[in-house]
Order: sequence, then C-alpha cells, then structure tokens
Amino acid sequence: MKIQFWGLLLLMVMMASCEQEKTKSGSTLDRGALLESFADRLIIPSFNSLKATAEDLYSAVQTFNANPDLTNLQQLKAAWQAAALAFQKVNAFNFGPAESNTGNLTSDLATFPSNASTIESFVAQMGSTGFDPLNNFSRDTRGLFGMEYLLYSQDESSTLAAFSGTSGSTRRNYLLAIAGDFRDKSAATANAWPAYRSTFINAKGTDAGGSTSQIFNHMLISYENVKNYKLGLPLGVRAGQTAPEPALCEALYSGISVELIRAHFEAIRSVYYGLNQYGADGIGFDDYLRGITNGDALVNETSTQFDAVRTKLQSIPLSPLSQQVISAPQPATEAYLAMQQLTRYIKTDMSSLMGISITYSSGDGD
Amino acid sequence: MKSDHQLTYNTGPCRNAKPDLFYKIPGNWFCASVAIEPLALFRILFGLMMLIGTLRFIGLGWIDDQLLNPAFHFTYYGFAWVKPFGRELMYAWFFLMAAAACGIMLGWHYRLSAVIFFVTFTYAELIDKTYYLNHYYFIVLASFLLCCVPAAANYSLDAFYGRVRPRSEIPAWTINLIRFQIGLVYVYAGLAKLNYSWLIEAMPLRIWLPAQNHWPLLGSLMEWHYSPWLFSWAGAFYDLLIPFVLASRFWAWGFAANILFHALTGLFFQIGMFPAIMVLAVPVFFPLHVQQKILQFLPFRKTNSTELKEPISPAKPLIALILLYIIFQLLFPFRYIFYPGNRFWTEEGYRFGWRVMLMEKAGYATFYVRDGLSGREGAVDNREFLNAHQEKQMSMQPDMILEYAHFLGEYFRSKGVKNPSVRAEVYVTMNGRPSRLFIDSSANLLDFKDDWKPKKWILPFEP
Repeated sequence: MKIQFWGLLLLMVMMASCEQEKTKSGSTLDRGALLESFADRLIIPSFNSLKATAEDLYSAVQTFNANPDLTNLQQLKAAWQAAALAFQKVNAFNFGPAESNTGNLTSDLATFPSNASTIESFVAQMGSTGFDPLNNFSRDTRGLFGMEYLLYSQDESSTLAAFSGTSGSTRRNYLLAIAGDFRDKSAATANAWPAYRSTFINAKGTDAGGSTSQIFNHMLISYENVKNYKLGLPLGVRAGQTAPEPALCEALYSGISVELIRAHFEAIRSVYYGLNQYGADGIGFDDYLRGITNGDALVNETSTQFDAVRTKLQSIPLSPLSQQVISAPQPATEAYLAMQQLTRYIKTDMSSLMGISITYSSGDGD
Repeated sequence: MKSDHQLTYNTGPCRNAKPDLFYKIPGNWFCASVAIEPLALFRILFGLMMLIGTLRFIGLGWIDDQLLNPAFHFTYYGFAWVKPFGRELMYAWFFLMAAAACGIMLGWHYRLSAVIFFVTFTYAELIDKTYYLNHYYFIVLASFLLCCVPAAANYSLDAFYGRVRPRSEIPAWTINLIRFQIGLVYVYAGLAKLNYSWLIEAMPLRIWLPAQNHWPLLGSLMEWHYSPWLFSWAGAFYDLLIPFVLASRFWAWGFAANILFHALTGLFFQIGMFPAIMVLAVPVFFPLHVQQKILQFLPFRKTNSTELKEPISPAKPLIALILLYIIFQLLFPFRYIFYPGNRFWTEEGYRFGWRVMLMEKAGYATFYVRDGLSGREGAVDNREFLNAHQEKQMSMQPDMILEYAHFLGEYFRSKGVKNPSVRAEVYVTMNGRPSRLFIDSSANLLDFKDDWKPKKWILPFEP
C-alpha cells in the first residue's frame, strides 16, 4: 500500500511538472498543428489550384478544337503552361488521395519524357471504334507531357495544320481525351482531400504510417526526383552515362524545363518552411525542428543550403535546358551539386532529429 | 522403432560417466533431475509466437518486399551463398517454417519440427543483413537450443500418442541453458547501455521520446524535460536486473515490470513481434507451481510419465560442447574491443552483441562510379538497386557500404564502364549531432575487401 501511495504521488508530481514545462516551451512539438498547417495552407489550396488550371486547360482544348487557329493555339499553350506550373506544387504530395491503383498523381499525369511514336500510333487509332487511348499502362503517352508533345513538337503552322480539318479530327479527339483525363484525375484528388483531411491530421505518430513521416518521405522522394531525373539525367552525371542526354529533359518541346525545375524546388522549399502559395510563412518543418534539441543549428545550416540551391537555380538561364546541357552545362551542373549538398541535411539530420521513420515500406527495427 | 525414440529423448550428457572432480562443480547445473514444466511451457509459448510471427511475415508481404524484389542483397560474412529461391519455393519455405513452428508448439514430431524451424528461419535470416535484428538472432539461438533438448517429452502430442516415452523430469541443463540465453540478452543489453551517451546525455531517448508526445495520457510525460534521463536509467537497471528478479521470489513484480517495459517499447518503436516474444519467453523463469498451474489447462498432459531413473552424471563431450556454447555467447559480443574507434560509429563487431535500440543513427550515401578509361564519373541513384530499408541500413554501416560498392563496380563493368572505380560520399549523423563525413570519400572502395580486420577507410568519430 505504502509503495503504491508513493508511486501515485510521484506520478502526480511528474504530471504537474510537465504541465509547467509545456507552458514554458509553448509546446513546440505539436505535430497536430504542423499537419493542419500543411493540409490547410499548402496541400488543399495547391490541389485546388491544380484542379482550376486543369479545368481551364480542358476548356482551352475545347475552344481550340472547335476553331484551331493561332490565337486559340497560343491561349491553349498558355493554359498548358499554367497547369504545368501548378502541377509542380503538388509534386511532393503523392500520398493519400493522390495514390492510385496504377501509381500516383505524378506518375499518372506528369511522366516524362513522352513517347512520340506510341502517341502517334494512338492518334492514328482514334478513328477505329471502341479504341480507348487511356486503357493502357503507357503513361508516357498522356498527361502533361503527352499534351506538350501534341502542342509543341512542331512549329505553330505545322501544328495548326495537323489539328485542322477532317484529317485533324483524330488528333483533336486524342488531345481532348488526355486533357479530360488530366482534368478528371486532378479534380478527383482535389475533391477527395477535404474528406481525407481529418485522417491526415489525426495520424500524429512518427511511425511509417504517421502523416509526419508520410509528408516528409514524399517531400524527400520529390526532391530526389527533381535532382536526379530533371537535372541529373539530362546532364549525364548519372553512373553509366557517357554523355549528356538532352532527350531526357522534362518539357523537352516547350523548353520550359528550367521554369518547372525552379517551381518544383520552390514547392519543396515551401513544405520545409510552411509557406502558402503566396509565400506567407506559417508552421513548417523548420518551426517544428527548432523545438528539438540541436534543432536550431540544423535549421540554420539547412537554410543556408536552401538559399545556395535557390541562387544556383536562379543563375541557370531560362533557355531550353536541352540545349544548355550540350553547349553550356556549367550553371545546371552547379545547381545539381548544390542540391546534392542539401540532400544530406534533409535525408539524414532532419529525419534523425525528428525521430521519424524514413522507411516508406514497413519493417521492424530494434 | 520405439526404442529409437527413447534413445533420442534420452538425457543427453547425463549418462553413464562417473562423477569426477571437474564435473562436481557444475554437476547440479547440468544434471540435477528437475521437472519438465519450465521447458515445456517455453516450447509451447515459443512455438506459438513463431507461428504468429511467420504468418505475420507472410501476410505483410515481406517475402516479396524484403527477399524477392530487391535486385541486390547484403550478405553475411561467409554466407554469401545464401540466396533467395524462386517466388513459389520461397513462399513454400515460409509455410514450412510456419508448420514447423506449429509442430514445436504442439510437440508433434517435435525434433523434426525444431530442426526444420531452425534451418528455415536461419536461412531466411541469412539472405540479407539489412533485416538483421537482435531478436531474430535470439530466435535463431533459441530454436537451435530447442533442437537439442527434450522439450516435448510431456505436454505434447508426441507424448500423448506415445510417439515418445513421456517424462516428468529432465536434466537441469536443458532448462538452464535457455534461461542463460534469455538472461544474457537482457544483461548484455543492459551492459551496452552503460555509456556516456545513454546515461549522461540521455541519448537517443532525448530524440525518441518527444517524438511520442501524441499518445493520450503518456504524451505529456514524454515531453517532460527529465523523462529521457528517467527512462534511460530505468531501462538500464531493468535490463541488468530483470533476469535475476524473474528467478527470485519477486518474480511477479518482475513479470509486471517486464510487461510494462515491453508494452512501452512496443508502443513507441517499430519493433514488431519482439515485445510479445520476450514477454512470453520469460515464464521459463517462473516458480514451478505457477508453471504447473498454467500448463494444467492443456488437454494432452501425460500424468503417468516415467520418472528419470538413470544415475545422473555428465558425459564429457556434451558438457564440453555446452560449455563451449556458453563461453562463445559470453565472449563473442565483446569482440568490438579489437577494433579501434567508437564502436557505435564504426559498428565493427557490433552485430550479435545484444546492442538493442542504443543509438539514433542515419546516413546518406552517394556512390560515384568512375570510368578508368574516359575519366568520366557518375552518381548512382541508390533507389535503382535498393529498397528504402536497404538504403537506410547501408548508409551507416561500413561493411554494407563496401559490399554495395563492389556490387556497383561489377554492375557498371557489365554495362560497359571500363576499369571502374567506386568512391562514396557518406554523411552520418549519430544521436542528434550534425552529420559528418563517415568514410574517406576519395578512396576507391574496390581496393578493399571485407574481412575481420579494422577498416582503415572509416573516418574517426568527432564528438
């Protein structure tokens, strides 16, 4: 009895002191607040923007198809660019509603490089009855870069010629089909998020299934994708490559690779700092890290490197990356190396300090 | 045939030899005739946990995720020949493992079941050291010991149906060896905690506990400033003392502490079956009357069993083997003393040492393959060859870094890279310190072979 009494008293004293401690530190390690900030300030608005630009893009395709002239083509291209830029903002959120049976939103809608010959064969088949261009696993024939191929791979007069008249009907129908797919999948994800929000916010654990681990891991995957696939592969700096491979550039035909890379990186930076789409600062990983032992030092070092990458990306000219990797690869290479340096802070120090599980698949540890 | 079974289940080293001076000392520990209940209870609970654990492994799809899908496996020194089989055979292997676990639990064709379980489980563990866990090593050892003892001589289908001669008593070493093994796991885990980081800096719990502040009730305790120290010290004392408490008259307190400890670690950390396995392993320490009470519910108990009548005295070769096993278990975890540097940093001599959940360590490794002819160097995307679990483990363990580098060298040679060299830029963070360069980033790793010697290319730990 006596022991139990003292035990109870000790527990009460401990509870009382944690209350004090909590008010002192302001409870900085509040993953609920972090996740709410991500959901309400970043994720849901970003998917909504994507949904809106995808709808604009679809109606621009309809307008163009009805009247394939130069004005409508240029408006369609502008709508495509807006959608491509909006897509970069959701690139790090490939979980929950963005996961599909076939992969995730990025693999479904933004696979690159596109496959010109398969696209042309699908276009040719559009005339035959019962052919569904979406009923296959060739994701390099649709999505953003399938559309890009159709709109940008030839000069504007040839493009207009290809889309015009009776002979252009299969091309028009194919463009409409993949623009519809892009619109539908974007809208489905955006529409599913409000319901998924509570699931997301309530999974406060730091285990593999917890939302903090999930968003961290997807941010990291997204970061490695922009570094390795959007920069590294075209530059030819991957093991086994013997030369630059300009054909592997994202946005090869439109030539806006550098804009997309910058937007993609900014989106990841926004997750780290908790910036909304207008750049306003809120709760992000940096704020959470500052609540942890040694966190301040890490945030400072990481911020320095984030700035370094940003500067390097700003100094890549906006001319097509596919030309730069051949003629003047230096700025892009330097950006790649700066990104390489930043990886270690995110992948190693940050995940370790937060005590979050970096294994996307589950597994036991000890 | 019957006599064969009787022979198999005979009393091991405790036959025929005359007592002499040397054997008098450990004589009782080895050869006292004791009740079989502790061993039978251990066998049943262990078999049950292995059955659940094996089915869980299959059900979670880990055969595919961990053993079949990866393009490359990290092998154990001397066991590079252990490879996964084809998909069908691998699944059959695990179902055989589950059946053998069931056989252990029920005591049905017990010896065969124990040997099959030991072989199938150990082989599966040896495929890839990414998945090394101390508790898997414990299971390997425990199932090996179960192959050697007559744990199904009662409370088993074998005994119930007369496949073996039922016994109510067995020689003491069969139980003591298992108690020794479990006690060693705890005590060595406790000894490993007696270091500056754990006790004074309260690392890694200072990182791990606040990450658990979302639990109802417990959450605020996890955020309390002094909790990491409280839990570090309590954990160390718990590990060092628990086997002795469980074997004393305070066993019930010990068991309560055992459940609490493993429930908390199970809640906080992704450690799967480990807590349940340990909670159900320790009843082997309980007083006999408690074990009898638990076992009396079993339908197939054989009460008219033969008492152990033979004169009890040790047989030299088997006693020697048992002693050898014990000495090996006592000494092998200490092999790290032959390696220079911080053992947590280098992890040389780290595995098979009961160093459980001792540090927060993570790494990031970028490998560069250089063509010796053109001089062109390219970075490797590890995800092309490794799953996330493999990459995580490899990025902080030198032997795995080396093995992967050799794999990359061979792979890119076959892809046409001439005279390749492989270097790696590896950054490792330990217990919340800023990440540091881990190995010599200019060294061609293909110049080194994995062996037992200290790896000179590991950079020293800077606190």
